[in-house]
Amino acid sequence: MKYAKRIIVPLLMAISLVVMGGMVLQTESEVLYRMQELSLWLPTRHFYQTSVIYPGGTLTWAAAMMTQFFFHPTLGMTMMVACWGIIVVLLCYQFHLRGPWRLLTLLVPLALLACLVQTGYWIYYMKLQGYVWVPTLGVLLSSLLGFIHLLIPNRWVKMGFMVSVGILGYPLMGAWWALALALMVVPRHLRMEKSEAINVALALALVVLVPLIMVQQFYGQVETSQAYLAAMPCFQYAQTDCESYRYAYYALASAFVICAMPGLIYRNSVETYKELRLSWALSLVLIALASFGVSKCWFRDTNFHKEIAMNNAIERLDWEGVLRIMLSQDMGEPMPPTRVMVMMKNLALFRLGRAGNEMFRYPEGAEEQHAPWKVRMTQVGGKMLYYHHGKAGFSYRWCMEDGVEFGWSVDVLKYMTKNSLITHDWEVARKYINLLKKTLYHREWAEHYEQLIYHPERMAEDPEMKAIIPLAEFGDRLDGDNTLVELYLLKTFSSGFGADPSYQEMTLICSLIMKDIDLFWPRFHQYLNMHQKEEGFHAPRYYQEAAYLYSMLEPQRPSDLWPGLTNAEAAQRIPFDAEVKNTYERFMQFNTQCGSMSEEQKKVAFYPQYGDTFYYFYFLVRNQKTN
Amino acid sequence: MISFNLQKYILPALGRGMGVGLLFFAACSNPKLPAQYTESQEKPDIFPEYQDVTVPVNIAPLTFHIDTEANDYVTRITAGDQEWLYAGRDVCPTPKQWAQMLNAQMVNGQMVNGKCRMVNVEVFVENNSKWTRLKPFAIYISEDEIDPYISYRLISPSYVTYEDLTINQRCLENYDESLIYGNMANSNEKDGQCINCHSYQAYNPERMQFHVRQFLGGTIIAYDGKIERIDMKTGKTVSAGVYPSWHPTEKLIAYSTNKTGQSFHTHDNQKVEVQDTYSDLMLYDVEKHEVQPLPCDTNDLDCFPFWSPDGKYLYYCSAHYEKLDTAEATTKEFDMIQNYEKVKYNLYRRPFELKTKSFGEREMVFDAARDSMSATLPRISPDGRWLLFTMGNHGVFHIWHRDADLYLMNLATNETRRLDEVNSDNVESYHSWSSNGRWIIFSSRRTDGNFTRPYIAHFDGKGHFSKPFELPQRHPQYHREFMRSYNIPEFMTGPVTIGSQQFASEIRKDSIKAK
Repeated sequence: MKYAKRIIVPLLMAISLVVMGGMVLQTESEVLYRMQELSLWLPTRHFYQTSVIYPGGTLTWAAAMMTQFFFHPTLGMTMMVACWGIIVVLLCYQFHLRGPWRLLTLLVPLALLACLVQTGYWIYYMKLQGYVWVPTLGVLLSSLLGFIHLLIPNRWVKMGFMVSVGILGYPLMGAWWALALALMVVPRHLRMEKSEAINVALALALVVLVPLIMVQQFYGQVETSQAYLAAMPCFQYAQTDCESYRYAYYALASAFVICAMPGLIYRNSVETYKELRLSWALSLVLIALASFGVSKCWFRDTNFHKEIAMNNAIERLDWEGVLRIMLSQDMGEPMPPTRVMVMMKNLALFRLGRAGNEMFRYPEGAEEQHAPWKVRMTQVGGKMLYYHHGKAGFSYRWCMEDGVEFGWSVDVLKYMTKNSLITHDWEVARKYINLLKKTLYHREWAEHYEQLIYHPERMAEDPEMKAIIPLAEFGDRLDGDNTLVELYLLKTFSSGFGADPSYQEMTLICSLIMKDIDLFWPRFHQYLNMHQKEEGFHAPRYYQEAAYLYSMLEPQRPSDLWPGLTNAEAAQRIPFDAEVKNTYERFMQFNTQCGSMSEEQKKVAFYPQYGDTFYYFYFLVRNQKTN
Repeated sequence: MISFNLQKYILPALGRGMGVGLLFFAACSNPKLPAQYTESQEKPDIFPEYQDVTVPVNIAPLTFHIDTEANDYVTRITAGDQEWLYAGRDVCPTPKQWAQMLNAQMVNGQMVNGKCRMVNVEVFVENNSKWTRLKPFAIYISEDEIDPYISYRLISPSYVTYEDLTINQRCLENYDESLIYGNMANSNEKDGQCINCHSYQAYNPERMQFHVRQFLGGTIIAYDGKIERIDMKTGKTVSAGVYPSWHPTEKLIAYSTNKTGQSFHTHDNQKVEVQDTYSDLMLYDVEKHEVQPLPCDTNDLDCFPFWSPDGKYLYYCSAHYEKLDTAEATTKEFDMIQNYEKVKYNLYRRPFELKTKSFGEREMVFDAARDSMSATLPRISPDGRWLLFTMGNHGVFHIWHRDADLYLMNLATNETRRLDEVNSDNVESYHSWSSNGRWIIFSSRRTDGNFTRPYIAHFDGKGHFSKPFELPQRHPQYHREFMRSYNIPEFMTGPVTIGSQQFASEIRKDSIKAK
C-alpha cells in the first residue's frame, strides 16, 4: 500500500504524458511530418554560424535539429514526451514539490502541448527556426540550468553560476534565458531564504541589461525593441497581430507561477491529511482546467489537416490516397473544401486519367483557410501545384520567395531541385541536392534525383517527372501570376494548345472549370481528334455534358465539330450518351419547377440529384474565390 | 569588430565543443607523401577552381576542397625549397604557412632571378592501395597589391520578398567579415526595410552612401563621420536616386532614377526579366541637398552612371525604346514585356563642367545595338585608359542574363574585345576596378548558376587579364552551402568604421528633404 502510494503520482504523471503524446500522434502525425518538411537542419559549421547571428541562435539551431525527427512522427513525439518527462522531474526538485502537488508540474507540458497543437497555418508562415521544439527545449534547458544551480552548495559559486548564465545564456538561448534565471532565484526566494534578495536583484539587473548591451555591441541585425523577444515565436504576420496565439505562452509562464505556489503557501507546515486532500483536489482541478484550455486551442480544423494529408499523399504519388482524404470524415463541423484541396483533387484525378468522369463528383468549395490573416495558395500547396502542372519557373520562384522570407526548408529545397531538373538547370539542382544529402532523412531522396543529373534521359521514366514533362514542354514567355496560382494555371492552360495528349487534356479540363464556351469547343474538338480513333474510345461524361450543354445554350452557333452545321444540328448527330441528354432534360425541368427559388435555395435542392453533374457546376457553383 | 568575433568564432566554438576531440585526433596524424605513385595527366577536380590563377601578394590563404573521388588524399604545396603537406580533401594552409609560401622565393625581399613568384600544388590520391599524382598546378603570385577591403550586399536571389539583408565588408588579407549595416536593425514584422546600392567616393570608406527603401526610407550618406538620411523624392524625377556614382573629388553624386518592373519566364531557367520602363539621370549635391535632373529624351532609358577618374565625363548606358504597339490601351510596361528582347543599351558619355555643374551633349562611346547587343555598367579604369562593361543580348539587368559577359574597350583606340580569359558560360555582371587599376572584382554565377560569387582577376595594364579566382574562404566549401548572393562587390582602401547599430540609430532620425 505504501509502495502504491509512492508510485501513484509518478505513474499518473507518466500516463498523462504518454496520453498527451498519443493524442498528438493520433490526430497530428501528418502535420508533424509536414512541420519537419518545412524545416531544415544541416550538420555543418556554416549552418550553425548562420543560426547564431541572432541571439538564441544555438537554441533555435538545436530545435531545428530535433524537428527533423518528426520525419518519423512517433519517434519525434516520443523524444518530445521524454523531454517533457525530464522537465516535470526537474521542476519537482526545483520547486520542492511533494505528494500530489507534483502533479502541478504537468501544467508545464500541457502548456507546451498547447504551444505545439495550436500552430495551424503558422507552420507555413513562422520565421523562427525550429519553432516546434523551441518552447520545449527552452523550458528543458532552463529547468536543467535551474537544477544545476540547485545542486551547487556554495552560495558564491551559485552566484557566479547565475551570473555566467545571465551573460552567456542570452546569446545561446535568447529570451528563454530569463526563465533559467527566474528558476534559479524565485523558488529559493519564495522559501524565504533571505540571502536570495540580492540574487533576485542581480538576476533582474541581468534580465534588463544583458539584451540591451548584447544587441548594441554584438548583434548588428537586431532591432532594439526585439531584444527581449529573441528566440520567441512572433505571432504577427504583416499587419495582422495574432494575440490569441500568445495565450499558450502566457499559460506556460503561469504554469511556473502555479508550481511555485505550494512552496509559498506551505513552506513551513508539515503535510497534513487536509493538505493532502487539498493538494489532490487542487492539482486535479488545475490539470482539468489546463486540459480544457489545450482542447480549446487545439487547431482541429478539417481543411487544414486534409490539405496537409493530401499534400503528403501527393508527395508519395498516392493519388488514390488524395481522393480518399478528400472524401474522408470531417474532424468537426462539415465544411466546404478550400481551393487548394479542390485543385489537389483535380490533379489526382488528372493523374489517374479519371478527371473527365469524376471531377465534379467531389464537394466543391472555396472555403478560406481558417487563419487570422489571408492565407495564400503560394504558401500552401502552390509550389507543389505549379510543379505538378509543369510550371517549373513559377514553382521555383515561390520556393525562392518562401525560402528567403520564412527560412530554407527541406520542402523548398526539394522543389527547387525538381524544378531545376525540369528546366535542365543541372548546376542549380546539384547545389540543392548537395545540401539535402547532408540531412539525416533526405539523403536517399537527394541521391535519387542526383542520378537524374548524370542521366537526364531517366527523367522520362521517373514515375513523377514523366507525367510533368509533357505539361512543361512548351514555349517560354514572360508572365506573372499576381500571387494567384489557380487563376494563373486555369488561364494559361485553358488558352493553351498542345500536341501531347496529356497537355491537351489539361487544357480541356481547365476550359471546363473556366466555363468558357469559346475556349472549350476548339479543345474538345482537338481532344476528339486525338482520341476518337482509339479502340473502345468513349468520351468522358463531363466533356460530353459540357458539349451538350453548350450546344443547347448556343444552338444557332456554327458548330466547331461539324463544319456547316449549327450546334443544334451537330448535337443531333453527335453520339452523346443517353444519360447525358436525359440528365440535362431532367435538370432543366427541375429548374423550371424551382423557378421561384433563390440561387442559394436551388443549390440545396439540386445537389442530391444533380450535384455531380457539369450542369450543376455550370449553373450553381459560382463565385469560387481563389486565393 | 567585437560582434564579428563573437558571432563568427566564439559562439560557433561553443557549439563545436563535441567535435574537438575528433579534430584533435585528426590533427595528430601527420600526412606523409606516398613512397611510390604513378603520374597522371588528369587534373585534380578542386573547389574553388584555383588552378593556375594569379593572386595578389596580400591575399588571404587560398583554401580548396578536392572533389576528385578517392580513398585517401595527400597534397604537397611547394614554394622555393620549402614544402607543406596536407592530408584529406580540404587543403587549408594557415595564414602563417601562406605567408611562408608567398615569401619562399624571396631573398632579402627580392625575387630570385626576377621570376614571377609561384606556389606549386601536387595532389596525390589513393585508390585500391595505389597512389597517383594528379597533374600539378601552380598558383601565381603577383607583386601588385590589391585593396585590402571589399564590400558587398548579401542577398538571396529572390524576386519580391526579402528578409535579412546586409551590407558587409570583408578584409581580403584575411577572412574577417563584418557588418556595415543590416536591415533587421530597423525592421520588424510590420515594417520591413530593404537596403541597396552601397557606393564610395574614390574607394574611401569614410565617404559612402547606400539606400534604405520602404520603412524609414532614404539615401544614407556618410561623409567624413557625418551621417544624413536624405529623402531624394522631389517630383523632378521619376524616382529617388537609384544607381549611384560619386564624383571622384567633389561632393556630388550622379544617380539614375528608375521605374523598374519584373516579369517571370514561364520555362527559361534565367527565371526573371527586370526592366526599366523609365529611367533618367540626375546629379545630387551632397552639400546643398539639391537634385538636378539631366536633360533627356523621354524615350531614352539612361542608367548606370559612372564618372571618369578625372571627373570630366559621366559615362552611362542608354536604350532608345518607343512603344511598338501603337494601340492606346497597351501600356508601355506591357509593350516592353512583350518585346523585351528588343531593348538594347549603348554606352554614352556626357562632358561635365564643374564650375557650372552642367553637362554637355551626349557622345556615343560604344554602339552595342549595331551588333544587336546590349551594353551596360560602364566602369573606367583608374588610369582612364580602359572601359570595362557588361554586354548581353538584350536588356539592362544582366545579373539575370546567362549570356552576359565582360568586355574591355581601349579608350585610346576604341578597340573592344570580349574577355574570354575571364568570362564563363554563365552570368558575368557587376564589376569594379581596384584603386591601382591592377585588379578587377566582378560577380559571376559560374559556381552554381544561381548565386553570384565575387571573382577577382589580375590586369596587366596592356589589356589582358589572368584567370580569375573566387574570393578565398576559410572553409573551402563555404560557398557551396551559402544561400545568398554577393551583390555589388566594391573595393575600398580600408574598413567602414561606423557600426550597424550606429547607422540604425541615425536612420531612425528625421530625414532631410532634397530640393
